[in-house]
Amino acid sequence: MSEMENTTSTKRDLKKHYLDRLYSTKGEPTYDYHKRKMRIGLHEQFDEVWVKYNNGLATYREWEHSLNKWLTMEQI
Amino acid sequence: MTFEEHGIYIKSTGGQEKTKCPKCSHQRKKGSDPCLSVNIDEGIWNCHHCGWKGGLKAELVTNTASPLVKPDEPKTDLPESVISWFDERCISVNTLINEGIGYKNRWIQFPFYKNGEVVNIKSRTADKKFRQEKNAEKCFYRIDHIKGMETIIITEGEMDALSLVECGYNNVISCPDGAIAPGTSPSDRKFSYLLSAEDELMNAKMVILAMDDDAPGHAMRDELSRRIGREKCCRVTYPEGCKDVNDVLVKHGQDRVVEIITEAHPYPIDGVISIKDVTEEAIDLLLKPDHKGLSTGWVCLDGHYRISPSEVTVVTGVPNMGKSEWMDALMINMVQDYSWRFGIFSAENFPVKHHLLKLVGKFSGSAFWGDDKLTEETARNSMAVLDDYIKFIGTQEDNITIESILDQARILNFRYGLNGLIIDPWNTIEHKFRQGESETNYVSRVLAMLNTFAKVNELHIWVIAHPRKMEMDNNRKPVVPSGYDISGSANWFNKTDNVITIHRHKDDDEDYVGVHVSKIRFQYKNGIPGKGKLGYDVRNGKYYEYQERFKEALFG
Repeated sequence: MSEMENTTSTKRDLKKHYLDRLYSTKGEPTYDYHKRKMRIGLHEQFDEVWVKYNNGLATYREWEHSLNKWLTMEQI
Repeated sequence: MTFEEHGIYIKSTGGQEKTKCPKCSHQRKKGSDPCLSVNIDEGIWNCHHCGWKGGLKAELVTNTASPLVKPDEPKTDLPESVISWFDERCISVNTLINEGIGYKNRWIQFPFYKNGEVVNIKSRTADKKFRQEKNAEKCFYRIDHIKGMETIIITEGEMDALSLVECGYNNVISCPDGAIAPGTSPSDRKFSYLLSAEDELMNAKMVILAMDDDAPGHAMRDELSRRIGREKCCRVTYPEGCKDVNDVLVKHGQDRVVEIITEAHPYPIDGVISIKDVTEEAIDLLLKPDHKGLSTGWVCLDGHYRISPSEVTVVTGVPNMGKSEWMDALMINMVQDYSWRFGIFSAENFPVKHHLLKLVGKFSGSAFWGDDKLTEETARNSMAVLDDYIKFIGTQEDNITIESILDQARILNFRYGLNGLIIDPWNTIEHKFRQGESETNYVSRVLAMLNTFAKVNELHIWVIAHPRKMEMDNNRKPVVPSGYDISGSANWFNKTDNVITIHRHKDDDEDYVGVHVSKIRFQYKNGIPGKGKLGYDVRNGKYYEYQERFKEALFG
């Protein structure tokens, strides 16, 4: 399957996939300034990747990697 | 003898040229293959097909001894076709007459006058074949016209010189042999014609170099400016799509030619930048009042030490006072606050698994040992995130050198885009001194290398270096070492951008880690030297803002 086909087939379910991942993640609250700053940064980075993905400038793999990184950080 | 008498026909009058071999080309299938390499300057040739080689050397020796030949003045009766050929190049008949341009058997002749006499004739065909008179004197074309001139314009060829004459410039000369091949070191004989105008060039106040805008032209311009003196050389900038003066004249007219000569700018001197070159960048900096380095993540240090790219910081301190720990903590802060990516060589923390756990502890803010140590899930999550930001380098080699660290950092930078490089510590690297090189000179050389690497790759380099020996104060406590106490050389302080000492201050009243900043090169953006106090949590290895003990405040 080519990169483009992969992107097209997953585009419809993107929001569902995102919400499923979000609700299944048990975020740990933190008072650590640096951890909070990194979480915010990764969230913003994920938003940017999503916009890029919608404009065809990023692949699904990048979108997923960015989401994973942000949600992983939320659990630390 | 000449090349032509050997059956070798060349277009250029200097440099290296490939042409057909008179011995084998006519017998080959690939008859047009230029298999004969000819070095015109040296007068030698070699055929890569049949192996025929030879030279003019013997003849050249004879020629040197033989008297110079003065050719006759060329016939100036130009046929209509030649006049129209010049006309297409915007050179008028008047100029041709004034300059004594001649014509003979398909060859246009440019006479070289010296003291009113023709001393050489350069001939060319319409398809750019060139030749000069045998045993004639080498001198600049139009050399008589620059006597007593304060400004001299030098062009690469006669057509460019005539173009400038057409535009009203008289103080124009041109090189008899054209440009030189880029990347070669032409012999002095190639530039022997410079002697013909030695007095004029030495006494001139300004020499404008109007060479072609191509690689040979640039090489020629560089070599001439080097010989004449760059302090008085200027060069011209051609409009887009033009490669020489004649091009400008044909495409844009005389006014534009005058403009480019008027706007000739001084030749840049290596390593020297004029104010004009950086004015805009400086103004940009001025208009950004908040242009500061990045915070370390500890507010108490913001006034003393901020981090900017393209700099080198050396961190020192008495052993076991927490240099590496502080460095790791700073790295984690930079990862968390600014998503910086690091390459780290940390020999004292091998094997890497120990180091990684320490970093995970700092990253997650949880202890990595003891009963309440972090969970496996937290550790795995932390490592998954850190994997994008931290790469360990120099883990395989037995003898790691500064060069191998920089090689690996260069590759990491290419693949991941590093922002920071940590070398911890200096004394575990294998130092390769050059023959007869002192330690001071070695340190100076390597720091220069690190500075260049940091600037070229726009990353910040931290080097951890130990002081030469521990000095004690009156209370038998170690004295805070300065940058000049670092083992090896005073250059540690002199040649780095920032110098920091990590020192633990512990007594009955207080216990803190002092971050002593003793040097900041760019204080307007990175803070002024001073001291910050941090507290250290031994469980997770994190540093916090130090809270003064308030025992006395509470209990008087």
